[in-house]
Amino acid sequence: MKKTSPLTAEQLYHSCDLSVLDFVTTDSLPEFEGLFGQDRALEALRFGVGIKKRGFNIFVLGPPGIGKHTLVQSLLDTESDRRGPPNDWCYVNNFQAAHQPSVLQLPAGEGDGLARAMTEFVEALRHDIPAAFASDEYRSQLQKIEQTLKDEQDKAIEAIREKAKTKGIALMRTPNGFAFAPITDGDVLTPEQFEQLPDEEKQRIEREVDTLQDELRQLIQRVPAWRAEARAQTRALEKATAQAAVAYAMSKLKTQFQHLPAIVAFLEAVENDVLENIDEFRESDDSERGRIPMLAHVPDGPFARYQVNLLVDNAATKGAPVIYEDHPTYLNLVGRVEHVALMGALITDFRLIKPGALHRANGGYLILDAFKVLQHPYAWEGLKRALQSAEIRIQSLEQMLSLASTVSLEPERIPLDVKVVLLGDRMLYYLLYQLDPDFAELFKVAADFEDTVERSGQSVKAYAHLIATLARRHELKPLTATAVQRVIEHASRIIEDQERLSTHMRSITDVLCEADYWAGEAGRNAIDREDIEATLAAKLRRSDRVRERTIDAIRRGIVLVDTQGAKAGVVNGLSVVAVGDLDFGMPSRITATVRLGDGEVVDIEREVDLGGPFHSKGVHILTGYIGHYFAKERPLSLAARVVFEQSYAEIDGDSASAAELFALLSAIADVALTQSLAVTGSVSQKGDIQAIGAVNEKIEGFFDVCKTRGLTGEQGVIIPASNVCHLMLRQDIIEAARQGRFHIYPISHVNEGITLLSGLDAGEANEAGEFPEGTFNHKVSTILRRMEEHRHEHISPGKGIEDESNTAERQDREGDDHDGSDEDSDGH
Amino acid sequence: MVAAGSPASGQRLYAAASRLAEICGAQLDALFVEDSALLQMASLPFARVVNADSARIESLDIETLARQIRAEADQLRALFFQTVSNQPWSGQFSVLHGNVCQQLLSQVSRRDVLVCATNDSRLQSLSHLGQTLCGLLNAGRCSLWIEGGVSRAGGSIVSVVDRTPIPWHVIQQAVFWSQRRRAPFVCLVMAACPGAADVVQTITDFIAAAEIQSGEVVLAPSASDVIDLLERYSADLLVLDAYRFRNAPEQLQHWLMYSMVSVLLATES
Repeated sequence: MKKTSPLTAEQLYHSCDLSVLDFVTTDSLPEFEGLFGQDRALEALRFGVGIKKRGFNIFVLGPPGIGKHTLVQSLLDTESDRRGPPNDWCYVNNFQAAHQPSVLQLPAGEGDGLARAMTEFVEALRHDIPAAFASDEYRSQLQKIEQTLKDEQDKAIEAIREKAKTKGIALMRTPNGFAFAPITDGDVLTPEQFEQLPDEEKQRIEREVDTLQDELRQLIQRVPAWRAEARAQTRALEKATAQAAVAYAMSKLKTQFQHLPAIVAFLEAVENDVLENIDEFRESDDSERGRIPMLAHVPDGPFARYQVNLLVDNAATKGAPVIYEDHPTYLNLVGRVEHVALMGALITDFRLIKPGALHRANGGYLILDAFKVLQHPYAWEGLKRALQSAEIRIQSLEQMLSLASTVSLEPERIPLDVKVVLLGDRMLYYLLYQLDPDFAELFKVAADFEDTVERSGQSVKAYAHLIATLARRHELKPLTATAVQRVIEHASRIIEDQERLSTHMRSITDVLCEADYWAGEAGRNAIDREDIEATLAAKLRRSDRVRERTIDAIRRGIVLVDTQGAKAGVVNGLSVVAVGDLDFGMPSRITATVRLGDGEVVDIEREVDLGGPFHSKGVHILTGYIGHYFAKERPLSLAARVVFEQSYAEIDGDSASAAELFALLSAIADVALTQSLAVTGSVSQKGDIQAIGAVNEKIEGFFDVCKTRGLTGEQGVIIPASNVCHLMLRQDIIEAARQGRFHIYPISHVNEGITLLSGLDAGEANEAGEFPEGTFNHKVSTILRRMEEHRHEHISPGKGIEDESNTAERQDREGDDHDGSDEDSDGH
Repeated sequence: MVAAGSPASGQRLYAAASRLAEICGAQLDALFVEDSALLQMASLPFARVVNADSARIESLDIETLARQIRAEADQLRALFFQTVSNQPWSGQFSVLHGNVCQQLLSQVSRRDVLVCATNDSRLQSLSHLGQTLCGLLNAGRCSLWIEGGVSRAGGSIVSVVDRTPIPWHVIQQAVFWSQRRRAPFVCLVMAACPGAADVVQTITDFIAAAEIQSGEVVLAPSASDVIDLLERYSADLLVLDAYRFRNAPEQLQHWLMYSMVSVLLATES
C-alpha cells in the first residue's frame, strides 16, 4: 500500500477571502437586519406567533449563547406593536364573600383611573359623610326627632301632671322615676298633715294616686315603642343623609364608567355597602393609625374594602406585552397572596394579591428559560395548569398541595390569553417531549436554532455586517477588514469546520469586547487583526496553567510520552482535557500487551471503572475488528490488555480506538511503531477510520509537546480523513507543515495507519483470508495462529486455558510435582 | 351659678356654664338642691315610685330616696369639678336642702348669671316653672341663662325687641355674644312694637355705626312667626329682655318651651 501523503498547509486552515470584505472599517457597513442563518427557526417562530390557537406555544431550542433570546425578543417586540395593549386587571372586594375577591377588567389605562377614583371617592366620603351628619340640616332633623320623642313623652307626662294637679296631687321626679304626692298650696303634704285629713279624703288621695300611677306606668311602657319609632326615623334620616352625601360622588363615578357595565355593578355594590355601614364613616379616625409606622401596610380600617387593587396596569403599554421572567418560581409565575404579620397573626385581603408573570403577560407574550422553570418546584406544573385551563388561578403551594387548612383568599380566576415561549437546549426539549405527555399538547411549535451556518461568500459578507452591528450595539470601536477576516476564521475554528461559521454570538461578542480593550490599550481607534490575535492569545494564556503544567510534565519525563523512536505495543494516543473554558489536547501513551488466552481484550480503564461506555464500546469494536480479520474461522486465542498509561481520570469516547487498535496489533505482531506520530480516530469493525471531535486541539496538543523537545521533521498526527474539513489549526502549525517539520496524515482505513506507523505494508487478505508474507497483517495473523496452536497444547477440552490460577489444580489432579514451577509455589 | 337637678342634664349644663364663665371671665359655682318635698313625699304611707325604665311600681322609703339623692349630688359634684378642672378659678359646689325655688331664690341675689336648663328633670318637676323663673328674675339683677335642647354650631344670635324705649342691653348682649362666637347677629323687631319701623331703622344705624359684620334687623309680623324666623336664621341663642318677662310667666314658659334653643334673659347689669 502506498504511504499516505500529508496534508498541505492550505488544507490545514480555511482563510477568509479578504476581497469579499470590501470595506475599510465596519463603520461603513449597514446595520444587520434580520437573523443570521436561522431561517428555519425564524419561520417556526413567525408561525408560532401568528397562529392564535391554544396549544401552539413555542419551544425555542438551541445551545446557549446563539442569540435565541435576542431574536425572540426582537420578533415579539415587532409583533406586539401590531397589537393593541391588553386590558387592565383589578381585584376588588367581594361584598358577598370577602374571601373571594372579584376581578374587574377594564380597557388599558382605565384601571388606574378606577383606582384613583375610588380612593378619591372614599376620601370624599370620609369628609362628606361626617360633614353631612354634622350639618345643621341633619342635626336639626335629628334634634327634631329627638325633640318630638321628648315632647311626646313630656306632653304625656305633662298631661298626667295636669290631671294630677286637678286632683290636688303633684307629679314629682325622683332619681329613679316618678312619684305622686298630695299638695296643698303648692307644697307637698307632710305625713302629719296627711294623717290629719279625713279618712275619706285619705282614701280618695290613695285611690287617685293609684290610678295616676297606673296611668303613668302604662305611659312609660309605651316609651320603648316611641323610642323604637324614633330610632327608625333616625335610621331613615341617616340613610337619607348618607344617600344624599354618597349620591353626588357616586353619580360622578357611574358617569365616568358608564361604558363598563361590570364596573357600574361594582359601584352599585359599593354604594349599597357604604349605606349599610354609614356608622363606620361617621366614626372614622384613621389619624392615629396613620401615625403608627408598623401599621402602614395593614389593611387600614373599614375603608380598605372600597379600594381597588390594580393588579395589571397597561396604561403605559404600547402594544401587546412582552414579558421575560428571569426567576420563574411558581409564585412568580401565577402570582401570590401576601400576608402581613400583626400581633402574632397573619392577615391579608384582596389588596395584598400580587401579580405573577402570567398576569403581566396576559394578552401578549411570556418568555421563559425552560431550565429555570423546571428547576423550581411546581413552577412547571403551575405553568401547564394555567395553559391547559386558559385561566390564572392564584393559589399558594400549600393550598395546591392541600397542606394548608387555614382560611385564605380564593381570588376569582382570570382568563388567560398568552403565548409562552420557552428557551432551552435541545436535550431538554427532547426529554420533555419524551417524558411529559402534556408538553407535546402545549408546545406544538419547535423553533430549532442552528449552531452553524454555511460559510460562503454571501454568508461571509452577512457575517461582516453582523460583526459591525455587534460592535455598534456594544459601543465598541469599529473593526478593520482584516480584523473581521480573523473573526470569521475564528468563527470557523469555534465550531471546528472549515465550511461553516458559528452562530454562537455570545462567543463572538466576547472576542470583540476584549479586542476593543486591547485596541484601546494600543491606542488604536479601530480594532485590527492583531487585536483579535492578542485577544485569542490572552484568552488562552489566562486558562493555560494546567496545559502548561501538563506539557512540562511530559517534557521532564514525569509523564512518559515519546516523540521519536519506535516501540512495539505502544502508540501515542490523543485525548482532550476540559479545564474551565479551555479544551486542550494532550498525548497519552497507549500500551497493549498480549498473551495466550481466550480471546478476551481487556480494557483496563473499564475494569477499574475509569472508562465510560463509549470508550468501552470502542474497545469492543476493535476486538470485533481483530476477530473479523484474523479469527474468522478459528478461535481468538489471546488475552490482551489495553490501557492509557499514567491516566488516573475518567476516559470516555471512542476517538482513541484506532490508536488502541494499532497498539494491540503492534503488540500481537511484535512490530515496533514509530513514536513520532500520534494517532486519533475511531475505528469500525471493518477497519474504517471514522471522524472524531476536537481534532484541532488534539493536533495542537501533540505539536506543542514535540515543539517543546524540538521538531524533528518526522513528527505529526494521523487523523481520520473525514476530519480534514474540520481543520482550522494555529498558524505556527501551519507554518511548520509548510516547512515540512510537522505533518498531518489523513487516513480512511486501519491499513493506511499501519503503513504510516510501522513502515511496513499492511497487507490485504486474499480469498482464503491469508495475508501476503512480510506484511504487517501477515505477522499478526501468524502470531495469532501460533497462539491458537499453543492453546490447544495447554488445555483439555472443556477446561479452558491454563494460567497461574489453575495450574496447581491441574497438577494436583495429574499428580505432577509442584516444585517444577516457582510461580506456582506462591499460591497465586 | 349653675344649678343642675340630675346627672342626666348635668354634664351638658356644666359644660355650657363653664364656657359661659370662661367667656365672661367669671367664677363659676354649682348648686344642688336636695328637694325636701321629695323626702316629704317619701314619708307618706302610700309613697311609691313608678320606675322610669321598667315602668314597675316600686315601694319607696325615705332612706333609700335620701341615699339616691345624695348619690346624685356626688355624681354632679364629680362632674362639676371634672368640667372646671382646667379653669383658672376654683369653683364651689354647694348642696342645699329645702324647697328648690326658695333655695334658688336665696342664691340669685349674689349672682350675676344663673344657668339652668328647661329640660332639667328637677325644673320640670316644678309646678310653675314660669313663675319660678319670674321669681328669680324679680329677685335681683341676676340674668338667667337657660340652656336649650337644640344647639347649632355657628348658628346666629337672635335678639327680640318688642318695646320702646329700645332695650339696648338686649342688643348689646346679643352683639357681645355674636362677636365672641363669631356668629351672625339678628335682631327681630316685633311689628307690635310701637314705632316698629323707626326701631328697625335705629338699630340698623347702630349696626352700621358699630361696624358689626353680618348683622341684620328683621321685622317680625307676629309672635308666632318668631319660631319660623329662629329656624330660618339657624338661631343658636335667643336673647330676651329679662324685664319684659318679669311678670309674664306663661309667656316666658311658652318662649322657653317652643324656641328650643338656649335663652338668655338679659338684665341691664
